[in-house]
Amino acid sequence: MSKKKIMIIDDEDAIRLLYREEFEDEGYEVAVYENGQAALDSFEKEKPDLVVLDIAMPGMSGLEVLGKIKEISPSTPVIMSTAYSHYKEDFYTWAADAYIVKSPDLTQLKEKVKELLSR
Amino acid sequence: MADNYAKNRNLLYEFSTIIEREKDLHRLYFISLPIIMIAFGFEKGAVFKYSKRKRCFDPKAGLKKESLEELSKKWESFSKKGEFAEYMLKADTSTLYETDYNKKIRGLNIPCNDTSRLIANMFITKTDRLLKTEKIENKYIARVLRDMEMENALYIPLTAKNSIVGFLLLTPPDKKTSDLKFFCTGLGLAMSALIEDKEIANLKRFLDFNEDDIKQKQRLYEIGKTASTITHEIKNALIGIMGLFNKLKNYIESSEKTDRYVEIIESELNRIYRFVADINKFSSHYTPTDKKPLNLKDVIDRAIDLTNTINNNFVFSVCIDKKASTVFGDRNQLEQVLINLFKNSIEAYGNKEGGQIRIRAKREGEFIILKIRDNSGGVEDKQLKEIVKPFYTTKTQGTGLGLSIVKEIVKEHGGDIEFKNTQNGLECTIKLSAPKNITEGEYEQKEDYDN
Ligand SMILES: Nc1ncnc2c1ncn2[C@@H]1O[C@H](COP(=O)(O)OP(=O)(O)OP(=O)(O)O)[C@@H](O)[C@H]1O
Ligand SMILES: [Mg+2]
Repeated sequence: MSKKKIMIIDDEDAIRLLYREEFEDEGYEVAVYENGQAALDSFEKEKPDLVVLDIAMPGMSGLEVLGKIKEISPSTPVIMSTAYSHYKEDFYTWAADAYIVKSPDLTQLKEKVKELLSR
Repeated sequence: MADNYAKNRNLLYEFSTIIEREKDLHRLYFISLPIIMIAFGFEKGAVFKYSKRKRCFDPKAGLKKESLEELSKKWESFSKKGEFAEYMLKADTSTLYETDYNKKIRGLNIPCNDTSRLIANMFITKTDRLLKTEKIENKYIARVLRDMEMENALYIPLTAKNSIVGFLLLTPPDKKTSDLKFFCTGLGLAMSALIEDKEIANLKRFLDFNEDDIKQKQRLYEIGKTASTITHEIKNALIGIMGLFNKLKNYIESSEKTDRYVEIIESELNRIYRFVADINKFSSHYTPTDKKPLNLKDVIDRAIDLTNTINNNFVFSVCIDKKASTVFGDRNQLEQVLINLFKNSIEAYGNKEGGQIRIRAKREGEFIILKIRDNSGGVEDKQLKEIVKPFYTTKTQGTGLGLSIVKEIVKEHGGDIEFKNTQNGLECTIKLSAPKNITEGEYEQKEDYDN
């Protein structure tokens, strides 16, 4: 079986580095993008199996990106992640397959990724 | 057919009068549901409203064929005079709707999970918004449908400005017409306008607006918002730093010195992280509530246990009237209330022996009255009003949000909170609801149906 590919969209350098390393250690292929537009431009090329998407980003917001991804590829699971749970009440986030509050401990995120990829 | 068209045009006209003029949210859906049903020939219907705070859908009204027929007749007689809207705006909706069914469905909180995802997806990808109920997996909605004996229904999201305010379920599902969209869009917009008004009113109440110092309160609110943006940025950065630091630790050669450095860095990082999280707890008090009947003693005991982990010099005495043994609320939030209060008492008392907290609970009618009293010296009388305000603190390490959170939670539980000075300390009185369906004589048997 080939490696599953995760696309990570987050504007924070440290987080991109952290996620990349952690997920590569878990045996995934990882593609990181620092903004929504760049990620969408490469979406067809990358064909990720799953997307981890930050909500609060300068430029195109995560919610907008989510809408676009769901249009291009409705079946690709998207995990919305943010530092706070504010956005949970935002109607758009419901279209995401999961919602994670960021934490230095990546256990919850990793479990969600695993769960969504095995669906 | 032409008949129907004319009828719809009329109703649409009457309907627009209603959504323009009705200022009461409850009445709005009570009135609009039957109109939509009459206009399109639906036989059964239900309205659900989205609750941001609880993050769930609340069933608000259900209407069956029999009551509708009665109304249809009224419609016929008023419509000729063009006075149906006038009639409905004045009508006593409570007699129309206080049926057993409505009592039963209200209070049923429907979590937003699979169903909401379905609606959101339809909305985001702009697909058809009409859906058959077979596709609804949500067991709560399924229950409403079962109760209403609706096998198959149209499922229509009510939306406004990119947000969802609720949805309608209507039977029979084959009545779909494009006109229906007008009605639903209108209803969604009207609901959202009223909800917004209510939110602003709530916010004003929360900040205790009085005309004199609106400016200052406004500033406070702005500070709160700014604080939340700043802490968001800080927390975001911290998460990366802490995650990477965890990895870095593996490369550091252990020695007495380096171990100590690592320990200090870690504990300081954790402290900032917690501090930032605390501030944000305040600005995002929309935590979901999960209210149920709780054994009050359990809640208090747990809060005491947790407090004891910070300081176990304090002596707690708890006395709960038998009739006050069950309270209706969210376990975690009520614990949070008590912990915040206990923490304050302990911090006010300082590091000496002899600190005491006395907790008394009694029942008064539908309410549980909880009194929490310490011997920490209290506050100056003129401070009594200040201490619950956001960011009011006399501590170098405090956020001043402890009691604001307490107040917000109590209010969210439909209760009340008051502080007063006693001889040697502060006394906090909290009024909470006793579970509704338990009468005073009955409470004992039902005491622990919490789990
Ligand atoms: N039991 C008490 N006895 C005396 N003073 C109190 C008591 N409870 C609260 N106060 C006063 O009210 C102020 C506000 O309390 P609040 O819990 O809102 O914030 P804080 O305790 O200062 O900060 P934090 O809760 O974030 O640690 C306190 O700084 C203190 O001066
Ligand atoms: Mg406090």
